[in-house]
Amino acid sequence: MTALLEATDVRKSYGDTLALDGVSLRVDAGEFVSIIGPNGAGKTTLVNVLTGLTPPSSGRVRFKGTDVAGVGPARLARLGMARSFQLVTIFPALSVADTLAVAALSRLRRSTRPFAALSRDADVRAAVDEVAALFGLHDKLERAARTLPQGDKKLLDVASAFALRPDVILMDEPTSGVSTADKTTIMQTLVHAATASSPSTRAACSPTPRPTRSVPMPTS
Amino acid sequence: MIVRALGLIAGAALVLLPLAGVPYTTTLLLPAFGYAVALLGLNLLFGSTGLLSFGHALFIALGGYTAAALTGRFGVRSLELVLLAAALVAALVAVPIGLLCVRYVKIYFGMLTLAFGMLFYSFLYKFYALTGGDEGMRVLRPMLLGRPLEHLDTVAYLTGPFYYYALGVLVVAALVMRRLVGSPFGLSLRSIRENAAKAESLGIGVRRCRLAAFVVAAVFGAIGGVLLVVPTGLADPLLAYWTHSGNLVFMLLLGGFDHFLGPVLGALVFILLQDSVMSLTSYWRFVFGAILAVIVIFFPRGLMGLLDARRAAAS
Repeated sequence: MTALLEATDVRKSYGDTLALDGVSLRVDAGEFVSIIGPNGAGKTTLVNVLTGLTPPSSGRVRFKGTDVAGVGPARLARLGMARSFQLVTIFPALSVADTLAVAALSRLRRSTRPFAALSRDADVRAAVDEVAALFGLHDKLERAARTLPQGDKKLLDVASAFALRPDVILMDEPTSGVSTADKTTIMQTLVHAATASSPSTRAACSPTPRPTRSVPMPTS
Repeated sequence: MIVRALGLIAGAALVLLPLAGVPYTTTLLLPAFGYAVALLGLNLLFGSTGLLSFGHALFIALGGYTAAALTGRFGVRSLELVLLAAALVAALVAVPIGLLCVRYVKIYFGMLTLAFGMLFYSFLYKFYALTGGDEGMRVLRPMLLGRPLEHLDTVAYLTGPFYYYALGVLVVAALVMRRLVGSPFGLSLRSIRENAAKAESLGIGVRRCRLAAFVVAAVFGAIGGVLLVVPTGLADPLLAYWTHSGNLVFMLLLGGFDHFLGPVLGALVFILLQDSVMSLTSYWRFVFGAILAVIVIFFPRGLMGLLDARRAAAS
């Protein structure tokens, strides 16, 4: 059986700095993998390489059996690989509903329809409601993302990735940048959402409760 | 509510104006219709996508010169055909220019569009045999909906049939743009404006969407350009000059770029204001500079932002 996501001896250097020194990783369907390592171990770089944002210096990444080199993040997302970011990454002026709609439209391959009326798209509406309910954002649908509390912004970031209904979701430090008090609640919401929704595999760059296994970063 | 009521009143006023027997004001508004169409397009690029073009006058000039070439050189007098041709030419030119420009954002995008605008200006200015150089090219009076209207003198033609034709084109352009802005494509553009990296991670083809917005803006610009040159009867290189692009940005800021009808209001107010200030003082540019400064500092959402204060408080 081919692995869902497989990295083979991936190296990435920025000038003289070696960020990734031969990482190999295999993730299969149904797993919940934690990638752990101290600050500077290269976790974010690994996510960036796995999602096609930056090409590896050497080594290869295969997603569902095909090489992701040169595919680019947008097409990879449409192929079923989603990610969230370490620093809260949202659309500040867009509402929660619109943010989730961007992802839902992308999954439905409707992002570039120029003359369809967005407000009358029942499929999008249903997808938005479903994901919002899963992340406890359903009563904040019309609020602009920038007016949300920090914890909700983080949830929205991850929720929009979930709205893609991906095969793999990579969460880069899903609880970074939020207060310690919020961390547990957010993690519980994430685990609940991940269990309840479709992605068959989740990889998170931080210790998560109940991982099926943990992958330490190789350090040089 | 207020905006809707004022909009209805303004719309009714525009429809009734030619009947009021003030041909001066009526002809004065004709360029405002052309600018409004061009600005609706420019605002898809700036307001929705977050790309500020300093060279949009290129496409206005392209529309103007297409009208001149077709009516003057090739004997095509149907305005519908001229508009269609202008839209096609603009799209053809916008694709290669856009492919280069949308690789960049912010000031780099702005400077590159400025460069292409000036390049086209130089072309119009220097290639005398083709473009008439600084004298420009004459635009002959086009037929409207297949009717030559030769019995009308110029003023009657412009303040009557052409006025309503231009207003009609503006209404259609606004309806099309409204549809675009409210579509999934429109949302994709706004998501790119807000955070391109995030949009990309959600599967939005950022460059393709930016290019599409650029081409649509160009098409609207060229259609506006056709409407601009019919009343003056002339397409000249200054249409493509960078100050003309600057005026477009001014109108957009004046009207307010985060409201759908901001560009239309901006065009109307700019034209009326320019006329009244110019008749008062020869230092009208000074007055306009001061107005621009006041808008940017105190009313960043433009006139529409003032009218629609309630929405501002809500967001």
